[in-house]
Amino acid sequence: MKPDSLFQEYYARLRREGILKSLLWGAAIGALAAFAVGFAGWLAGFGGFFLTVGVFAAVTAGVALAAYFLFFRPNARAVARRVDALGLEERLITMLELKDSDDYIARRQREDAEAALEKFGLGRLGFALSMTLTVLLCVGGAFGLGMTAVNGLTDLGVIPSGAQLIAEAQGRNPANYIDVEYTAMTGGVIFGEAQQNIRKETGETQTVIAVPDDGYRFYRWTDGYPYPVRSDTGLTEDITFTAWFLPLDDDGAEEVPDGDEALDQPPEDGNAQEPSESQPSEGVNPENYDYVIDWTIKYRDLFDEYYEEAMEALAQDPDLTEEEKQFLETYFNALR
Amino acid sequence: MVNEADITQFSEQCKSIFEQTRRDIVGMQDIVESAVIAMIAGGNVLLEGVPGVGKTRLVRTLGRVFNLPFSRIQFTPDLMPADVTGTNIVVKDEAGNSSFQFQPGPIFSNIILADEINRATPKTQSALLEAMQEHTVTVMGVSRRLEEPFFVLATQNPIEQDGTYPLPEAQMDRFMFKLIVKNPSLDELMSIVTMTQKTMEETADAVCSGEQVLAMRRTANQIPVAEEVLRYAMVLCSATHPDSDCASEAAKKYVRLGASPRAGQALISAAKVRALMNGRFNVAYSDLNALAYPVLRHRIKLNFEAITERVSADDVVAMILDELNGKKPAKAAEAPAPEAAPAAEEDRKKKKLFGRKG
Repeated sequence: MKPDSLFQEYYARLRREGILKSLLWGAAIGALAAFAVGFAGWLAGFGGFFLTVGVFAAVTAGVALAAYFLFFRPNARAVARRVDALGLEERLITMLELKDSDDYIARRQREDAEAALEKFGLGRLGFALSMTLTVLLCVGGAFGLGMTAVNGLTDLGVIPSGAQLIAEAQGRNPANYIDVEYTAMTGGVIFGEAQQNIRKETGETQTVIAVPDDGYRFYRWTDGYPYPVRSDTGLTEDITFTAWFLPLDDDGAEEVPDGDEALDQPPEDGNAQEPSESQPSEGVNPENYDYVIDWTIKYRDLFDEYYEEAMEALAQDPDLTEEEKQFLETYFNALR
Repeated sequence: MVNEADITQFSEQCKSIFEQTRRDIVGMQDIVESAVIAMIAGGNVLLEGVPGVGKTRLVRTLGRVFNLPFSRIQFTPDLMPADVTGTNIVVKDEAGNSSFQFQPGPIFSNIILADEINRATPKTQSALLEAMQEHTVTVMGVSRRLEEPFFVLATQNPIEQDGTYPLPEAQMDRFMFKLIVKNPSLDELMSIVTMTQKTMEETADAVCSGEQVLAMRRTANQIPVAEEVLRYAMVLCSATHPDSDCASEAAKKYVRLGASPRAGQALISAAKVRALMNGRFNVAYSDLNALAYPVLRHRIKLNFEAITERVSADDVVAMILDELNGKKPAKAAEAPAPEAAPAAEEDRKKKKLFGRKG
């Protein structure tokens, strides 16, 4: 009997094993690829369930084919090696090398190998699964199936996508935020957070104060708001507020614009804006400061009264920390 | 060409040799088998063991069983090379003319028992080199061929090293096998004492002539070795070299000098005999693994690290075999015992040998 025909049933058995192993390798690597693509898609917000399944199928098919033809397709030597390793003591691999020899030793060797092979049952040729493949299958299967399920649930809207979760976690969704800027024209500065990035949902800014330089006084904001201290609520889009200051003349009297005309007058630098729809917060209620807009009263004369009110408000404000209170107190003292 | 009769004769001769040897030697079956393998393969054997374990008796018994002229040389420090090889002496013929006549030394025999070989000086030890490898003796510029088959069975004592001269690497390499003779077990000891109380005479009969030994060698030489198996044998030898491409981790760590190409030749020759002796017509990995210890242990020169860690050459061979067979190398302390290792090695399944993917 020729060695090749002797190996037929073993060859068929090992070919099936090779196909199965190739498929398992393909599935393991396909699952890992599906996980990688699915996870990337989930994070970036593209793809989804069908992309993950498609990647799995494509990679599995490709890897299985490559693995079979490159590694697991059995040949006579591979079959001989495999059977020999299970107890035939290299009889078959030697028989293959001597298959064309007809001398006495070669014939006896063939007989010996065939006799040993007959005693050897096909059933003893167990299925060998390497530890690497087992681990890959477990890991790839768990991650791949898990990611496919996550993508499916995301597609169905049951759970948010990774991109959404990340944006929520980091609070960085630009669509939910607006920029508010407080600037000063010549003659003063803005004290407080001049540039604020606030949540659109609340539209609420922190308090800022327009402080005039020496020889100037606060006139009003370009949106028409007349008081130097302001915080805004209800803002819905990016906006800039500019504080307008007027110079005082040499004897200390200010140059007073004409009533309504002054209000309509554009800022010197031409940055006048339309009055915004925002409303100052209650903390700066005009009723408490109505005398400020009386142009005959100097700012300095009213400061002590302001100061006391500010100190009192400062002491009673539960939202401010001690450090912030001290900071504001220092500021008012500096003005004094 | 080998025929059916040669194979039959081989197996019958082996059976007879072992039967007769068992009549005088109790236990030591693996030692006897290895010694017979070496003799059939045409190799020399170095037997190492403490005094009284039966080294000399084993060699004498083998000499009787093989029915070959047998010389015993007791190596001592004052033994001279000429005492081994022989020398030219002046003789006068009937006419009164003087001439040199070669007086053969004890080495001109088929089986040489070099007892306590490490007690002779290196000069005398080296007198054996040519005889052991080339089977010739050169005296005063004249080379004389030794009669085949020719074997040197040497013994040495691992203790009492004072006044001894360790065999140099060149001479060690000429021994096909180094066999470690251990103390007998309790049962073996009882059998030895019982047997020798009856008679001290050796009773083994001669069952194998020199011609038959040579015929057995020719037969064994015809046993095929698959290319993959041959490659494994060569990898096994190369793995003992710390600087070779396929150096094992054990060799890199513990070996200063690895086995010579002669080790590869010895391994294959002996493996063929062993395979046929076991009724196989091909050499198997198990043959090589079993013979790796006696072939390699005396050819591996250990480095200082091995000596300080008390790692023996057998430990290194065990680690190399484990590495080649895809197993985690055993720690030095867990390595198999010297002569138990080959037997244990046979039982191990081979899953990942070089060039094989199961």
